[in-house]
Amino acid sequence: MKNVTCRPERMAATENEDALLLRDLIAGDEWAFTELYRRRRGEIYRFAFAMTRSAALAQDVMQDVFLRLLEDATRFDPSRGTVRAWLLGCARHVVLDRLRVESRWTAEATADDGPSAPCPAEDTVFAEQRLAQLHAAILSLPMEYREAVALCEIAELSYAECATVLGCPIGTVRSRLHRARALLARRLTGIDDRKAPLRRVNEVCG
Amino acid sequence: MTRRPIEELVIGYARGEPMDIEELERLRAECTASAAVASDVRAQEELTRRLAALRDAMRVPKAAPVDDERLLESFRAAHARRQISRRRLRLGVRAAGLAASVAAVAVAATLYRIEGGRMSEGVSVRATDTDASALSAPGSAAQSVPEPVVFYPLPFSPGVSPGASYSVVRVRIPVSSFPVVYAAEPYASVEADILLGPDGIPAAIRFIDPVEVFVTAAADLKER
Repeated sequence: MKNVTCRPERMAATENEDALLLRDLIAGDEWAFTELYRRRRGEIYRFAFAMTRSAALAQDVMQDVFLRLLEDATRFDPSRGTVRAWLLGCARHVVLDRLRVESRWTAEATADDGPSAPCPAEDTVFAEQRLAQLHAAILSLPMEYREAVALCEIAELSYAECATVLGCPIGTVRSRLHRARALLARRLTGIDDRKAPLRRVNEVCG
Repeated sequence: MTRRPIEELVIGYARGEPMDIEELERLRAECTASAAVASDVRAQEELTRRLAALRDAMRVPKAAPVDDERLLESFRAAHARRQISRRRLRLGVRAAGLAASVAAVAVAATLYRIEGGRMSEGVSVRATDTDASALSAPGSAAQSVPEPVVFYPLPFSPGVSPGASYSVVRVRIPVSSFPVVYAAEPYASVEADILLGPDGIPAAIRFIDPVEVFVTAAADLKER
């Protein structure tokens, strides 16, 4: 973004600083908005991408969340959680709305992994395939489990923050995540056991 | 303290969650005793590694400067909208305060007039002898009236005879009794002099402040 000035006293990022940035943002501080965007867009993007496996959709969600932030920033209540959890809560609503509209509960057929990269080495292809398998396994989980994995494992939220986002007790988050992980481990072990033959590099890259 | 199930310990260990020594020793013992538990631990550790790799692979693509600029534009627009709505809110509060003040003043004035009317009720009807020359020189009939106004003959009255003796009676008439005059205050009244004939029948009337009465009546008629 343009016009971003470096303010060393504000660069020490802490969770509490988000609330201060939000306060400044409401007062019209453009720098505060840019800084909050810079700090939190990665998590929102990762969460949205983990939930949809579409780079374009994840970017749309990220933009939507920050546009909503502009309208609803005054609704943030610090007693109910952190800014980070609040933003991811917004992202969750946007993602669920989009998925409902686009009926993309699974993205296997329409997966959009962004622009095609230059032809990588075979190791890279192997690693990417493993990641793709994992991502497909995450997308095949029931929605509650998928949310728990995306929030706790991909966006790296604590159980408490995840509980705030999902609006359920911490124990529920923990049990959902544990069931999701058990399912994922079982599915991935099954895939690995089948030892599906890897496609050659030239097949992958066309 | 309740004992956590071994599956929970396995996942907690693989995720690097804090565990107390007792739980750690229990997990180690279970791993040694059961190949299935040991396999679960390995699978969960592998899953943690893969999830970390997936997380690292999910990098935000560099947004087009146009998108960022559009977002900043949206920020500026949203801020401007918020400023306008705040200004409108402040104006609204001020207007409401002003309206409340005006209403309070109007109520106070009405109350004051009603109270004044009650106090003067006892003396409002007074009779003074006069003659028919009051018709041509109304100022001489009531000395308290600053500007003399003419008497208007009342419809269906016997009329005014120049030679007859008349009495002038000052009355306060409720505005609501007029068929065409609608005042803002329902209990408002108008002062008038009634010219009573020798038989006691009203023959003519004059309003102390006729302009107010007829202008209001005309305005109301126009509105209707």
